[in-house]
Amino acid sequence: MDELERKKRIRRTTLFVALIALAVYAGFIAMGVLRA
Amino acid sequence: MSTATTADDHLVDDHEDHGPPAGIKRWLFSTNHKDIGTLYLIFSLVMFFIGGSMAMVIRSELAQPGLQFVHPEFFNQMTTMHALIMVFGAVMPAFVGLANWMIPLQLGAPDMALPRMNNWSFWILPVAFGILLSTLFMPGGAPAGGWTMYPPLVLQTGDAFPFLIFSVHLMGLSSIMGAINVIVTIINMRAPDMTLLKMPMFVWTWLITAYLLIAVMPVLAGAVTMLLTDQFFGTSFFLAAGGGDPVMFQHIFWFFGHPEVYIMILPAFGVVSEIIPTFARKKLFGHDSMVYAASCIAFLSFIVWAHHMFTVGMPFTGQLFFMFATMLIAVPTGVKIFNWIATMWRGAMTFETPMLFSLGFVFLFTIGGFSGLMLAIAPADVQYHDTYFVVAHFHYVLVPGSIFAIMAAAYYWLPKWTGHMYNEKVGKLHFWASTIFVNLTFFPMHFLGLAGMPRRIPDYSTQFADFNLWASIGAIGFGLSQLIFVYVLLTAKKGAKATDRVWEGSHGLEWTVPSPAPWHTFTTPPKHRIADESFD
Amino acid sequence: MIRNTLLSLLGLALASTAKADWALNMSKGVTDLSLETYNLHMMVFWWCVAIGVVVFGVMIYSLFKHRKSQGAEPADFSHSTTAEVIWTAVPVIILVLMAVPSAETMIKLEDDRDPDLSIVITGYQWKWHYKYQDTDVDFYSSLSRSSLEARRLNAEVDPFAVDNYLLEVDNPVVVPKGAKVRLLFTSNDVLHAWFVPDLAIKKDAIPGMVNNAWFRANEVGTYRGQCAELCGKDHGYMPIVVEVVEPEAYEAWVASHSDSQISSAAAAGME
Repeated sequence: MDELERKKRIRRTTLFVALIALAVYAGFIAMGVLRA
Repeated sequence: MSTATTADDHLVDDHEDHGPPAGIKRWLFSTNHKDIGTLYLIFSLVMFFIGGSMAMVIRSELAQPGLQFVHPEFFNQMTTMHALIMVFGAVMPAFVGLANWMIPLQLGAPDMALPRMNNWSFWILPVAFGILLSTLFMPGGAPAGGWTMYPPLVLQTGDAFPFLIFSVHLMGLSSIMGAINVIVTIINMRAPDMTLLKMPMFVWTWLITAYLLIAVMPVLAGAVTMLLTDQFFGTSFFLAAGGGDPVMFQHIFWFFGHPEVYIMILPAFGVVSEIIPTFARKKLFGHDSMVYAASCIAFLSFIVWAHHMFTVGMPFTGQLFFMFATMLIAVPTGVKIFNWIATMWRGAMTFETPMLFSLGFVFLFTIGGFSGLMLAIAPADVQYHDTYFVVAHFHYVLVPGSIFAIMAAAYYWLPKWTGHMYNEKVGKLHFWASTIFVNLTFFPMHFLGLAGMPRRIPDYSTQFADFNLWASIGAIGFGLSQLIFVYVLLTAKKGAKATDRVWEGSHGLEWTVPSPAPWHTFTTPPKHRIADESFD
Repeated sequence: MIRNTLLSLLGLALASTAKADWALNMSKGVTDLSLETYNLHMMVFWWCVAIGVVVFGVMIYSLFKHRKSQGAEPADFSHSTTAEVIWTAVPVIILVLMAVPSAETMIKLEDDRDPDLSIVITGYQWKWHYKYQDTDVDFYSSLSRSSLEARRLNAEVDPFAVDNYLLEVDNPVVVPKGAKVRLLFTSNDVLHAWFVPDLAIKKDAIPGMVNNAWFRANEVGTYRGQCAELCGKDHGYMPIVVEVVEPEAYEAWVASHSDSQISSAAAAGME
């Protein structure tokens, strides 16, 4: 794996994991809104 | 080890010329995983003593019936702050600090994948805890509704309330950024030929922990956001008067809270899985089944949350499900304990301080596991719930569990960090004093709980007096014993020069770099041969 | 205070039972279900002891035998499928053995049909309110005056000199022996939990919700408990006292309380 490829992968993984976190946050607030 | 010399070739190369910048800038603007790891570890030690001094206030007040030192409202502030500081300020940052230091070294990576974010995720923490601690001086005092922040009680917090929410948000942000960094590093920065299943157990448990963090810290953030809007923006997520549901908060909180428990114990499993093979001079028994067991525990942690809520009045089938799911956790946890014992079996053990703390961990964590199994039995939990039995249980898994593992890790890797052997005699004294006092503190709490003493009370009926006095003596003793650790750290550089291997039985890439580990390591990936040999 | 510390230390040294009951274990209680709960607790406890003896036994043996100073040479095995299957399967079997009786007890706990008597219990910061359904008996129950004196910071009164310190109330709940009593829980402000170990009942009182539980006490006596869910500064000062009396005595008690002398007096105190 060369440096450029590694950088690309790092960016992709970061984005992916950060999106999971955001989705969980939004999902739980949405659930609260629906329940209340 | 024949490979040590080949390792040095690519370690000490042209990077000698840019060492760390001098003075405060080295720490404020650091993007170096070792420096940030050190910052995390020092921060968590400071928090450990602040949270510990609050525990001393609690135990002093509880030493005998009647109120001697503090008012009930301040007592409640102490229990709340003690928990928040120990969970988010001491145990979690300590493991993140170990991850920062050791994951790149164990993977053969030059640094964490996202070094600038690493700097952020650390420096948010002092701010978060500065805010949290400042609430002690606010009108109405610090939060006193328990670390679980159950509404409606938490909404009675004074001026401290928005600061509590904000600081919890910051802690969560820091943890999420730390977890992203760990995941991205492990996925992308491994040495060539280090497949996932060849990774050391500490790295594995941290990978699983990081995913747990990603999945549940936003849940906590969501819960406290809803508390904030309930208080200030007229919503009623959790307010019965407005059609909300106070129990929903508990469901959301424990959906975070139970995986959080494993966030605090899985890296401890990883540490112990590194140390026991080293001092038994024998390979870890069942490396792959350890990985599967940890993953299994992580999965189960998402479907057991309501065992914290057996008394809130759930439907019968719900209680049944959560009881069975909780009992199941005993299986993978048992596998881990059996594997550690099988690792020791027919090894050639020596008992240096890290090994002592690890063995203490296996013994005492198992006791905490037993009381956990008892708590899973829903009808019996009706009697145990919110009594000192629960306090005994979770302190057994957190103090001689997580904290002993952190201590073990500190002693294990300290020679790699400082380049010198610590004082072994004093280290052993630290272990024995801690072990005796931790049991004196928490074992009698089982009896108090079974006799019906509720938790979070500042004063109690006279029938509970004797065991409470024992526990208080133990707690003061345990607190003082930790000063021995400070002494070890302050004298850490006075000992003999450490070799690269440090321990006779050590394996893994971190032992192929010099002691102390230079500021830059593995600027070029380690050669396959080294990698292969280290994992065999 | 110093005297107490010394006394306690002395008691500790002599393992004295003079002033403490030295309760080491869960109460067997006075209902069928509290006894069943106790038996479940003991069953799981003994399983844990048995597993502990085996696991710790093997571990301690290994710690003494397989040490380098004993000249042990490390073996080089690192897995065994047979062993791993065994120590996965055996715990599963043990868990099933625990789960079955637990589920049976749970079913009984849930069955609150056909009560002889229902009491609505409402949590307040920091006292309990009891309303007997189908009668006009209702009253507040708070910490007794004797404990109030001793509970203050640096109080003059020694807690050891107070009978049932922090576990005594002004108006106890009175129920007849042998009757199936259903309890309905709710709260007026924050969460509370009604906890009486001898009746094996702990249930949260939640604003906006009604929870229920039931018991049938087999023995006449006075049973004490406390609020078990953190509810603010005086969480530790809202005890519960249940007096189980003979049915006739209960009838007399209801008659004497129907005029609501207590309830009006307590209500006046409230406003």
